[in-house]
Amino acid sequence: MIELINVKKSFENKIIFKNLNFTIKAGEIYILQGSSGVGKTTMLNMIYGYEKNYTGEIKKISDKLKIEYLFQDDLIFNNISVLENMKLKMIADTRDNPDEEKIEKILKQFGILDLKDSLTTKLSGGEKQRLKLSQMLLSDSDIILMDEPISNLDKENANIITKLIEEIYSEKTLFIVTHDDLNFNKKVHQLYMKDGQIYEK
Amino acid sequence: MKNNEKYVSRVIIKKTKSYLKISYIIFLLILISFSSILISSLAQIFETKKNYYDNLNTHIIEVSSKQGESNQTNNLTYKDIEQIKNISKTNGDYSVFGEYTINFGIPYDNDSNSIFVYSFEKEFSDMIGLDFSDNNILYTNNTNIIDKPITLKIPIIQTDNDGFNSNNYKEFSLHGKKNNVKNLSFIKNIISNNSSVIVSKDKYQEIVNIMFNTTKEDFENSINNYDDLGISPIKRLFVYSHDINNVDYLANEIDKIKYNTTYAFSYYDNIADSLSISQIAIFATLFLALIIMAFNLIFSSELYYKSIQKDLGILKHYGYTQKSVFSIYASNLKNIMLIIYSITVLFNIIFTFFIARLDILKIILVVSLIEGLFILIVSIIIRYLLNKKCQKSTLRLLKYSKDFE
Repeated sequence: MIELINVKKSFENKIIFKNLNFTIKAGEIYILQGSSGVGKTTMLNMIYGYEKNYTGEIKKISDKLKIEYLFQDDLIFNNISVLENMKLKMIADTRDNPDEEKIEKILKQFGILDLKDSLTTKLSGGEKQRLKLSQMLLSDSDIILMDEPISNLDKENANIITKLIEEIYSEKTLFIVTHDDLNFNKKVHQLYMKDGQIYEK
Repeated sequence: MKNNEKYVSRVIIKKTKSYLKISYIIFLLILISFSSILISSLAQIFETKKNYYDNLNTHIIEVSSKQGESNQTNNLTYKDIEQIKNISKTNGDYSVFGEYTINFGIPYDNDSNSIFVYSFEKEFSDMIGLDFSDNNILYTNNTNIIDKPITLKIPIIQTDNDGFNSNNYKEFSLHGKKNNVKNLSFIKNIISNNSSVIVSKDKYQEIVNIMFNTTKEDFENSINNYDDLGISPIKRLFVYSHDINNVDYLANEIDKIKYNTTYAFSYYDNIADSLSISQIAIFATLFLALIIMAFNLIFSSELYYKSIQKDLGILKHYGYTQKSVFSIYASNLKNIMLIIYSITVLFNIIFTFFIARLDILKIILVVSLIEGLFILIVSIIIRYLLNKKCQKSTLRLLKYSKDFE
């Protein structure tokens, strides 16, 4: 689905990747771990297209491959409601008037339908994360990149979010970067990054 | 802009920061203050223009006589008109007109009632509102003559050793009409006198020709040579300066060549200069207020756009194009500016009707156009600042906002 071929990347004289080769296959779940600063988020940025300053090749199966990227930061609008946040994302995805029925269905899946009229500033960390995950479902993406989906969450919320990710995104290709342990029942590729290379545990 | 983008704009505008809202309110209040000052100034200027600039009295220098070599007073002649016309060819445009008269009464009925005939050049007559398109008209305030035919008995003057005498006369027909001359203080003496009448310059010349059995050229030569014909036809000269600021200068120049002058501004100490200075002071203050107002809004907008770079980044991360993100925020700016402009124009209309007496539509149009242009320039600058932010890459917007926070 996505192939990284001989990717080299350096930043301020520090080599981050030297000949990185890796393939993301359709329908698989990848969990990448590694120390801070090894280049996990940089790799996601490169795959998504935010980071273009590298050599080598990142080959996608099709130009129309739809990728969603769950940022580590809260990329949601404050001072407007959960529903409005969903609508803003849906308009960007569909270029059409938002389908409220579909939005409510997704919010229900993530258990935050009753919060749809609440301002995002009133949401807890776990609820915000559910909203961000809900937005990922609005488009029919082929692959979802996630950067630290359960960081800054307490253990209970982390378990709930992990469970939701596994249940709801079971049909999707997932590439997750995290410091935390994500306990999926499904078979996943447990990876770690070191010295600019990716290894399977 | 698409409907769904309009929806996004409506949602986004709710997030407008309070300091920007306050800046817009201050902007509106200063615009309204600016309007009130500008409207008051314009109303005053138009009033002043009517009272001073458009008033014939202030443009005219009256020349009553010429001083001779031993300081005696000489009557004016046709040569004096040419001499004054030639004093200043470089400093502004001006015209010289004569007030022509026959300094004895001309009988017009069997009761020996008589009238004194006056005349001016056609251009001057037009200027003071006397229409001589019908050459047979005689303007008067004498109710016995108004709207009636009148036959003057022009004496035919003969000169002999005993002086002047007249045994004969010629009838001369004219038609009386009510004097509708403009309020010009210099000729008030003619207008208010029931025995004074004003005829066209052509008719005046015809009367003189009949009276002295002469031609125009011979008559003018005689007057220029001070031949004693028994009349001094040029009673006064009126020098009309097209630019009111040149009146003082012209009067001084005429004085220098020994003419006796009177003009409205001679009673005031440099009123033309004072008017210009007060106008410059008003506009300088307004200009300063405008600049401060523009900087305030532009600076606040820049601060606002800097603070919402994360929002711009989120929209781009969601999938909105750079153009869409720009138009989402620019449309809000456009709507706010339109509301501000509408309120200002409404204020202009109400305030102008309340304060101004003259040129109301002109004032509303001028003030609204100036403010419209000003708002447009400020909007263009703010749009430019917004566009600069939108051009940044998504990652940079998100990272920068993190630094900013």
